Amino acid sequence: MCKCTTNPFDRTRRQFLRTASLATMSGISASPFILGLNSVAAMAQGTGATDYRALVCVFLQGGNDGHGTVIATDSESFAAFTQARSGAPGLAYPLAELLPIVPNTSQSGRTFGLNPNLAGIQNLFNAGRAAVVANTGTLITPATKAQVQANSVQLPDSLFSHFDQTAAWQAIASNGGSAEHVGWGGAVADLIESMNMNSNSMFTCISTAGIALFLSGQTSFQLNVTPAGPIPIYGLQNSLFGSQAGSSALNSILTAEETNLFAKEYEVVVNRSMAAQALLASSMLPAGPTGVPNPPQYLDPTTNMLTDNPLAASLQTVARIIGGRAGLGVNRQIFYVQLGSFDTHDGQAMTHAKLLTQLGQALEYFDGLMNTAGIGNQVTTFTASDFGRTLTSNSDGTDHGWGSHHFVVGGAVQGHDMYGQYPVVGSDQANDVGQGRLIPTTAVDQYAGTLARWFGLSDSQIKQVFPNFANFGTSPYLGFLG
Amino acid sequence: MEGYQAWLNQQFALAPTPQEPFVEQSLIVNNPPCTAGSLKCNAALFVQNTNGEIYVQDAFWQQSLAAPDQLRQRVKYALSEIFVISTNNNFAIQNMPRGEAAYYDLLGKDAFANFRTLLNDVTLNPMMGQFLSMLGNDKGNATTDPDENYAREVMQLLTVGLYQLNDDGSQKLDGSGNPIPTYSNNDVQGLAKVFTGFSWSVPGNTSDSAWSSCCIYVGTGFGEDLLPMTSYPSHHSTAEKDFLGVTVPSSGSADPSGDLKIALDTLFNHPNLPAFFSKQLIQHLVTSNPSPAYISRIAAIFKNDGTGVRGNLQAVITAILLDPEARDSATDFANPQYGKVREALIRYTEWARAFTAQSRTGSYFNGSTEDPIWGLGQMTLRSPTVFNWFAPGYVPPGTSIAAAGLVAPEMQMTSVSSVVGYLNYVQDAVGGSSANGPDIFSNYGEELSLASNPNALMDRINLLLMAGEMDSNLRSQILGAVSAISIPSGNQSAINAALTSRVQTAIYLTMASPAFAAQF
Repeated sequence: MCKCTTNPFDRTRRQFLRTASLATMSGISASPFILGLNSVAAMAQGTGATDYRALVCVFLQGGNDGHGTVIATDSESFAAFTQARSGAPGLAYPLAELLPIVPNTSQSGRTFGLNPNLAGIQNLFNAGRAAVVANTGTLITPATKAQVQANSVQLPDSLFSHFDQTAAWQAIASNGGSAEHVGWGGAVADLIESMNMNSNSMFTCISTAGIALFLSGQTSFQLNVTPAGPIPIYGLQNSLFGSQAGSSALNSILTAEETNLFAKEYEVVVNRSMAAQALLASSMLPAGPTGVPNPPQYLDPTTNMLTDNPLAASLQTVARIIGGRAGLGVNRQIFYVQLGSFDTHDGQAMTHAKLLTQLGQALEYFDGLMNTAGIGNQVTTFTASDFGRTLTSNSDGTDHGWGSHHFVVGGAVQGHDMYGQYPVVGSDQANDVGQGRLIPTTAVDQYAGTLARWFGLSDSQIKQVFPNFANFGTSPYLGFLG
Repeated sequence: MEGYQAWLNQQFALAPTPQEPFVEQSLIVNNPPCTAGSLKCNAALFVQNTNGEIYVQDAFWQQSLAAPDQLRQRVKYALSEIFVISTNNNFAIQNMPRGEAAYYDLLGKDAFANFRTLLNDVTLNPMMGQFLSMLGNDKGNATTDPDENYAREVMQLLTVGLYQLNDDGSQKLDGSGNPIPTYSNNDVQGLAKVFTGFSWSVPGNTSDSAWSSCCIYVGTGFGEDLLPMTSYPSHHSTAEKDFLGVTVPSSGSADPSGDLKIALDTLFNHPNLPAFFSKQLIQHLVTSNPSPAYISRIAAIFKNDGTGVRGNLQAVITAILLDPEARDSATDFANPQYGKVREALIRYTEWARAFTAQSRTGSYFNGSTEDPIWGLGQMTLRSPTVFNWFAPGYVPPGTSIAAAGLVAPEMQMTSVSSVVGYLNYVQDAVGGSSANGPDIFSNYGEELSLASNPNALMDRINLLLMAGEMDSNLRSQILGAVSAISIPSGNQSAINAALTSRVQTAIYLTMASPAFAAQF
């Protein structure tokens, strides 16, 4: 089936070897990946970054309704919001139920409240540990409504499409939607690797939600970890069906040279797992009283019952890995966690209430963990989502939009504030291209570039990762990280 | 070729094996009985029964392993990854195990029918109606608009895709070399108006309560969960509807079925559909990167099966499977870019069928295998979103596949977690027996009879799992491991244990090989 030629140093394999130096610790004696010399040299030449920093992307999968997340409460704005949502019971919240937030920077007399289910974020905001970044979304260059309507400005491909706008948020480089396959988290990690900031770049990118485009790099790879932690391949760990020869053969088979590209790249993933498993398993802190405390249950507003919080569980896994950073040899890490079901075309009142409660509680729990660990200023968490949603409703839900409001959380965040411009509320306003689909006034590039600079990238590196960055001004950073 | 065609004809002729009766029966026998007249009891049993989903999953395993209509089962499975519904985070569907099974059966029933029938049945299915929120979609008023969900996804995912295509699957380009969008948001909004005014079907009843709330019509063998959605003219938009170059003028009276026919005919006759659908079905069944010529050949059959019929799926399936690019193994093996990664669930199922696996309890109690660590990382009708477990255009970054400009859809769920999950799950499955291990096990009768002769054992496993094309290195590795398990003399139970260990070792090592994870 495969004509196994000896071509051990194709590009991919070489990159893999370069990042697999700690395979020796995996206990696989016959592994061909015990070649730690490159990385040992890299450690010696490293920039010596000893301060730890992490970025945590919380992706609200499906497109979060920004209009119903951060709400302008001055009388004119709120009347317009209430009118637009009047056909949708449960989506026009009573003013008294909103959770007020008062940005440090005056917003031209406008006032704001958070969705009633975001008490966790209100707490973080009031503690100066969270900020709102208003009307952020995918752009190639600033766009006005007139330009959009005249089709005279370059726009991201396939607006309002989940798949493509998720790609545009997570990948950015071309804003080419589904054609793009390197994410900006992965591109940042590639540069971190090139700067030798981590002695073991295998553990730079971690996803708790399967393979994320956001963390897909050219030279860096993501590890996918579940709350169960990394599990060994039983057949390698012990004898196979009672036979040691079987276990040895398994190791040989899983590391044999493959010719067919699909077999070959499948094997690369298996080998990466073999190389990472033991060190990650031994470095990760346990869950629970002896390690990272379990998240509290949250009160589900739709059932009034205490319920497990899946986002908090994912962030607990992140905290367990961050707690093992010394053993993993990392000074910079990028995490991806996901909370699903934000595509609230119907049943939004129930679904959104539940999801936002999970979000607020999970972010507060995680920030608390980081503070307790003494690294509250070194971990910055941010939200992202496919797109915002319409302001008007389809009677019990909302449809796909564009710009949306987002949150940044952490001790490094200049919190208690709002960045970007909160739009005028109501139909047919300046940034509205129909039903309250907002033209973003802040680009994802600016949001992401601000995060990347804090993470340690230079201006020129940021322009490399975000090729459209200069389209948004001479210094497009948003200031929420100083 | 005649042999293949004869087998295909025989498979086409077999009646579909449905899941829904198995699921209904399982719900009935595993729950307290309902009297026929008790709507509350029957509703709790059939349409408010979150725990009943397990029987849908058991039914899947039962059919995958034992049903005679295997080609249909395989195509049905592929269709379920294109015409996606999922109970993952969708409690409305999860509550209706019988309806969920009936949706899967619909895909099987229509797999050998016409695409237009498939499109109609999927569109009106109440589980799809709940999944993409066409069910109960109201016409709108001064403050509300129709829900755009189904209108958008039926175009993007089920029929025409985002960009205009040539018949070979390549994108058409404008004068500046850019791809040309197939539709705009205005088309989505126009089409959304068509998909208003459909909801639960209660025979003879189009009252507001029938429109708005399942379930007032449910019992053994019948219910809103099983019937196609019906139209409610008073909830259907009468406004002008513009989409894909078609205009349905505004009208004084609502005509939901007439408007729906125009919309589905438009999608069915759209020039993108033949290549858009054909390429995806090839990717699911044969190879991730079919040549433009291969796609063209299939798209041509889709457009006209030779008798002037468009959308004949039997003809399309036949053409896909008998195409030279699917059948010329010598050429394909010599090309390292040919083939695909096979889904873990498909690989496990191949084991079960190859070795006539059976259920110890008769229930096929395998449950969901979707956990990436403890299972296979996937399960039917459980994908995370409408975009399935993997996208047809997925490019794994930093790989030789990306460098070659190719896609590898299944690599999107090939993570460092799921590859280990597969290896361990399969080790458990292969190592099970009639006495121990998972509910689904094999006795390996034929293989045990060969196990005293490792070469003969390998010949059989090579035939069953690798179509006789295992490469010599892999074979010698496995042969060495098998031969190293010595067969004692005397004690028969010790002999049997050693023979069993040989069989399990040979099968597991074959299934663990990267070559088995790929199809080429």
